[in-house]
Amino acid sequence: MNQLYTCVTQQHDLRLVAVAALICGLGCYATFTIGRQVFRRQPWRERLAWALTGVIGTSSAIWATHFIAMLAYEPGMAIGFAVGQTAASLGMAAVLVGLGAGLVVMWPGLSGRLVGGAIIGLAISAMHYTGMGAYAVQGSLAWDAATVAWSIAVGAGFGSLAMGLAFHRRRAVRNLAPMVLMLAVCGTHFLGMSAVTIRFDPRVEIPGGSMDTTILSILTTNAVLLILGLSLAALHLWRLNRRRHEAESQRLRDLADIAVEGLMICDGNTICGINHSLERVLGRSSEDLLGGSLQRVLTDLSISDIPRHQEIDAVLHDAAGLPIPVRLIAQSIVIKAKPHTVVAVRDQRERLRAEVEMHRLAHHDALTGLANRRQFNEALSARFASRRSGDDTFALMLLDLDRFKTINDTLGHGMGDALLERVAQRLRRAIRSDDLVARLGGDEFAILKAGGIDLAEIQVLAERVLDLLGRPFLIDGHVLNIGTSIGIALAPSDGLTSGQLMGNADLALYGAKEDGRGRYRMFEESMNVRIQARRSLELDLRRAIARQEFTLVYQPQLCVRTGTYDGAEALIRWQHPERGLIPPAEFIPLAEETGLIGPLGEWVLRTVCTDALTWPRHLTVAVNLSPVQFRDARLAQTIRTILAETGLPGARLEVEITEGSLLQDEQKTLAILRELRTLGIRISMDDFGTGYSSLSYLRRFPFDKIKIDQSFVRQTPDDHDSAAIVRAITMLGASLGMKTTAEGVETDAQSRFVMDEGCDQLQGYLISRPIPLASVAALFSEAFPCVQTA
Amino acid sequence: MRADSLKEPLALTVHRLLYRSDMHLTGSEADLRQEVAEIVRQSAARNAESNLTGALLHSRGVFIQVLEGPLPALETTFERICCDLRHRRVELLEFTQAAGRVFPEWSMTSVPTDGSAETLFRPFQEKLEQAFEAVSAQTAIHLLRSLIVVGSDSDRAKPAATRSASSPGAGG
Repeated sequence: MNQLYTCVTQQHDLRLVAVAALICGLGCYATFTIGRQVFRRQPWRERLAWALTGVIGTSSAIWATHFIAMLAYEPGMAIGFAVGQTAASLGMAAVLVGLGAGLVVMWPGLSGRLVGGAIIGLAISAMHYTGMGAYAVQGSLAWDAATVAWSIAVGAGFGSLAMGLAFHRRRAVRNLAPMVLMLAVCGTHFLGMSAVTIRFDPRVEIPGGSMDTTILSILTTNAVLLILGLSLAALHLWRLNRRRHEAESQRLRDLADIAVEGLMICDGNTICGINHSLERVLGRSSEDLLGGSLQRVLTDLSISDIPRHQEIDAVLHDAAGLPIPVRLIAQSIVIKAKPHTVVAVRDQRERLRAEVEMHRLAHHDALTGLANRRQFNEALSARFASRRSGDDTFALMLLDLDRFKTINDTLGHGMGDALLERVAQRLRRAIRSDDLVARLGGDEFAILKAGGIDLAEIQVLAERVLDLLGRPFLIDGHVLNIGTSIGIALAPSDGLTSGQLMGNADLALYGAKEDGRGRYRMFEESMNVRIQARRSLELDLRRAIARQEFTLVYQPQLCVRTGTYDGAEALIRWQHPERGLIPPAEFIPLAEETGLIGPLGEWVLRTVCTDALTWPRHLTVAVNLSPVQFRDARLAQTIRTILAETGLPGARLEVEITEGSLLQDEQKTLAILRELRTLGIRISMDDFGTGYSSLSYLRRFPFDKIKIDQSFVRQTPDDHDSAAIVRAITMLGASLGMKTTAEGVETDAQSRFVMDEGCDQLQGYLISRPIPLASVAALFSEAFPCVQTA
Repeated sequence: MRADSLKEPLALTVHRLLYRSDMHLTGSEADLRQEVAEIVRQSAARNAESNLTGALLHSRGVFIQVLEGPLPALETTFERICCDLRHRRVELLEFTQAAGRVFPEWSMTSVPTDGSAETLFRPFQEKLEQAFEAVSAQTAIHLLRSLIVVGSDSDRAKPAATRSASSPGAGG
């Protein structure tokens, strides 16, 4: 040891030793930093390049350490180097270091490292002693064999140790490896140098061309520093580049992961990237799919099938193998200088669900969930289309709920809606699964019955529907009784088109309603005939006003208290030029439907007011007003004008209304009635006892008179029920301060009965039939000879 | 158990309804009997859940049923009956708010119509058929109750679905 210390300090130029040490340290550092690159996961070519760089760096550092240290050696005599052998020593170092490093790489595990390290250590001594062979001094070299052996052992030992440490799992330990390698290099060299003794011998010739040691050392130092520096710089640049690359990939990945669309990067048909969105859609992790084939998720497509310019529909399969409808579009992209394909995947499930929902909403009634008119029309058209292809016959039923409007108007729309929902539910129960039931709007429903036109079956269905809808509905404590009318038309016999069939079913429905509701009617050709008749009647009606085919007749009314007339009710008659006398029951509904009731009603009022002026001035005239007339808000104004024009005092006019007027829009009707009242006009409730006869109407409007329907009066006094009703109405009128009139009094018995019960006024055949104006005027002037007319 | 609900909570008013319908079932006498028993069983199970009670009489192709309980459950159950094609021509004979239950012990029980009880009931039922207005629904309902009690006393026909804890006779 002492010998070694003396050798280094006494026989060396310490400045150059420092340079050698610097190079050695740098070299050893480079060895391990570059060496680590060989073990990274990267292409084998890159790994090989790094391995060569490492080997050259390490071996040149070892060699340079040796060479500069030799230049630092001061034997005190002339020295020289054999150029060839010096170069060979570098070559030997490179080969052995390469061999050692190769072993470390190829032979994983501790033993490989230890053996490889030892070979690298041996490379040091091999280089050293080869290099010493090229060293020429003016003297002879004597070697101490033991020290030489030590130097070789130190090199191999430390080399081995350095490689062993280099792979330690702790970083601090790994960092010791370059220092241990440096020990190996320096130890071998300086032990080797202390093993040599030089005896001056002037006979020895120094090989020619020996250079100045300073220049040599500068050249060598520069060269090796350049090599090492370049290697390390390359490493640094590579790392920077790689970091930037990684950051870029990360950014790309982040961006892809933010994307709502599923994205998949493919190298050919191999999946090499997948974003979170697609992971979620597939229910698989990217680890599960990366490196796998595209066919794992897209069974029937290859990458070349996916177009670049427009989306295609495809089906993905998720983790459970369930199909997911998607849209795909591809885009070429270059990643790491290689062409890849990015596949954008749009999950269509939400959209398809929304479409289904939209379709459902468009084709179903929101309240009842039944098919709506639109879907019904489509189904009907489809039936006709399939029928044309020689398929089948079918039945169409149109339903109108009876009394629905009343419930909706009196109990509110909430109740109406609740009722419609239950009606829909019952209809669903009535039909078979292949029948279609639809709500066409309001309280109109339709059933498309599949399976032929077997009449028995159709009747069973119709009766079932009538039964189910005829049952009571209990809603919020109310008992609602509705029922339905049904019109049935059969295809193709009753219609070859949707329009025709619907029209005829509608006629049948109209027939069912005319027959008294709560029943079904099959379409018959005669209905068409009747509707034709109706149309021609309608035309005649329009002309009748202009042609003055209407006349008024008057039925006198008798005051019970005075025993004489106190007025008359005006009744309309239509003398048709061809058909003769047409009863009001036939044309009034038609006039109401067509709106002709407006001008007709006005004509009646004007005529009545004019006619009454010819009567004694205390007598009143009563006119019936139709519910339809009350829909016109100007009704009161019209009557006011007529009174003013004719000059009849309002007190002599009496208007008779039925419950129908109050049912449609009670507030509006009551407002009109109040206005009429201000003109002095008297208001009567007509046909009382039929219909709803709701007592609340009597409470809400103070009628002047209640007219007891003739259907009750005619049955008195024999029928107890009718007698009871007449009695009840009379008492009711008396207690409410309203007069009562008995209509339809035909016999003395009836007359006596109603008078005994306290009726105020009588009207009927017993007093007089309805008679023309001239007759009634004569009757009145006879009864009141002294009274002036107005 | 049932005795507790004899007293309704104050907030819960009881409504009661009585209806009749034609039985629309086909099969032998024994089949019908079995089917009706099944209807009563199901009805009892459902009614127990919704706190309804009542009785069902079936005789000569006609059902007469009393149902009583809270209004919403009563309406739901009656609507189910009105959707049921095993009934035909359902007629609501009475629907009213009631001071208390007449059949507190039975979620649903079948009124025995054999022997003396039926003889007793027949003229009444005919009356029901012909002119119900003339017969007080109250009377009908209480007569149904008497029939059940008499029937079970004579041990001819046990109520098909009584709560196990209560005996029909003890219900008062």
